[in-house]
Amino acid sequence: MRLSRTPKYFGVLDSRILLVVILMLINLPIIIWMLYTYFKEIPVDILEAARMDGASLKNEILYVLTPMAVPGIASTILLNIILAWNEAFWTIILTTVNAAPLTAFIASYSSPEGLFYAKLSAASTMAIAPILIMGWFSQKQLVRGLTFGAVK
Amino acid sequence: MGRITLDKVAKRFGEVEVIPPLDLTIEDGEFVVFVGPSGCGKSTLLRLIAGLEDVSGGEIRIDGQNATELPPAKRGLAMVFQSYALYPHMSVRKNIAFPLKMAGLSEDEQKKRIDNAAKILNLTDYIDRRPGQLSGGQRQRVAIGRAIVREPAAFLFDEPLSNLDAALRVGMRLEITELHDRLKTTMIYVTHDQVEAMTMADKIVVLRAGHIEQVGTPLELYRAPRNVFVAGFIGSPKMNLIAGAEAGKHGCKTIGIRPEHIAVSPTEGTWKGRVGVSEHLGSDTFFYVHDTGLGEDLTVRVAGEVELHSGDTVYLTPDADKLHRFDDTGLRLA
Repeated sequence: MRLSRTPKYFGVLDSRILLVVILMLINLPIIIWMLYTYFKEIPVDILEAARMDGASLKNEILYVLTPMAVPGIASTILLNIILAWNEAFWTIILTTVNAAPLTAFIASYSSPEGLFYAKLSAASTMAIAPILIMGWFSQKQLVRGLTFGAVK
Repeated sequence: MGRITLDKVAKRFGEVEVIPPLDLTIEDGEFVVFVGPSGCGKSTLLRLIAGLEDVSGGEIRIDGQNATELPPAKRGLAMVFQSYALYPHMSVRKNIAFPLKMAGLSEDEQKKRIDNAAKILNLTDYIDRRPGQLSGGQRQRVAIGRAIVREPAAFLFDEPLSNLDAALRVGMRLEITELHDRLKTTMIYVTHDQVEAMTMADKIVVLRAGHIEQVGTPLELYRAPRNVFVAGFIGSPKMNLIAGAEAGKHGCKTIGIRPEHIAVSPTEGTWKGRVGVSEHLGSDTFFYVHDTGLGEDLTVRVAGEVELHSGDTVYLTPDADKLHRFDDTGLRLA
C-alpha cells in the first residue's frame, strides 16, 4: 500500500516507534489547542504577581503556571489516551504483528475466512473496558477540563 | 526608604499616547493616591512604576537609582492587585512565603516574617487554608500580607478594595491606613473612588487622560481645586458648577459651589427653585433642586433631617466665601 511505503523505506514498518510517532502527530494539534486554551485561561494578574514576587520565567512555569493548569493537563492526557487507544486507521495499515495494538487484533476477526461476530464483539467489549473504567473514575476531571473557562 | 521620582515618564500604545510626559515626586513614607475617572491612565502609571509596563520615554528613579530598565522584582516594590492575584493552589502560608522563597531566604527567616505578617493582618486563624476558602476581605489581607513580608521600598495598590462590598471596604480602608501609620512605608494607591482618596491620602494626584490635573493634600484639593475638572471630581456629592449670566455677575466663566455650602430657606434667598428628589441619609439630607433659572439643577446638602417634599419651593443662598470662580479655560481665579 502506498501509505506504508515511506515507513517501509525507513525500515520502521510494523514497529512501536512508528506507532508512537504517528499517534503523537495525529493528536498533537488537539493537545496544543487544548493546552493553549487552559494556559490562556490563567489570569494575567497572577503571572504579574509572580513576576513582582521575583519569580524567574522558569519558576513562574514551575510554581505557578503548571500547577494551575493541572486540571487541563490531566484532561488533555486523558482525552489523548482515549484517542490513541481508539485510533484504527493508521494502526491497521502500519502494523501487522510486532506492533499491532488492540484495534488490529479486533480487525483480524474480519478476515477473508469470514466475519466472526461473537469473537469480534467479545474483543470489542474487552477493548472498551479500560477506557470505560478510566473515564468513570476521571469523569469529573474530564468534564471540568473540557468546560474550563466556559463560564465564570 | 522609598522616594520615587518620575521624570518626563511617558507611555504610548502604538500611536495612542496614554500618558504624555509627566513629572511627579513621591516622598519617602508618603501615602499617595492616584485618582481619576476610568481610563485616565492611573493604573497604567502604577504599572509603569511597578515595571509591569515598559515606559516609552523618561526616567523612573527609586531612591535616586535609575529603575527605568529594571525588571519588576528588582525594583524593591510590592503590589496588591484588584483581583487579589493569589495563587489558588497554595495555602495562605505558601502564598505569603512565595516571594521569600523566590528571594532565597532561609526557612527560619521565612517563618519569622510570615508569622509577623499573619499577626499584623489577623491571618493566623486561616494560615493553612487555600484562597478559595476565604472571603473577599480575607483574600485581600493575604494579598497585603504577601506584599508586607518583602519589606518593600514602597507598596503599590491597584484598586484593592473595588471587589469588596461597601461595609468591608470601609473596614479595609481603615486597616490599610493603620498599616501605613505603623509601617511608615511609601504607599501608592490607585482608585476611582474619591472617598477613598480623600480619607486615606497624604497627597492626592488627580489624573485626566494621562495628565496630572492637580497634586495636593485632600483638603487643598477640596478647598482650592485648580480647575473645573478637579472641582467636579473631588467632593461628594459633586460641586455645583454654574455657567452663564450668574457666573458673569462674579466676573468669571463658571462658578462652583459645593452642596454643603448652600443655605436653604423656605422664605428667602438668592436663588429660587423647586425640590425634586430628596435623599435622607439621617446624618444629612440631599436635595436635588430644579427650575433654578441658572440653567443647571443644583444639589444641596443639609445637615440632619430636613423635611422638604417634591415640588416644594425653596430659596437657596450660596456661602459667598466658599464660592469658586473659574475662567474661560477652566482654571481657578484667585
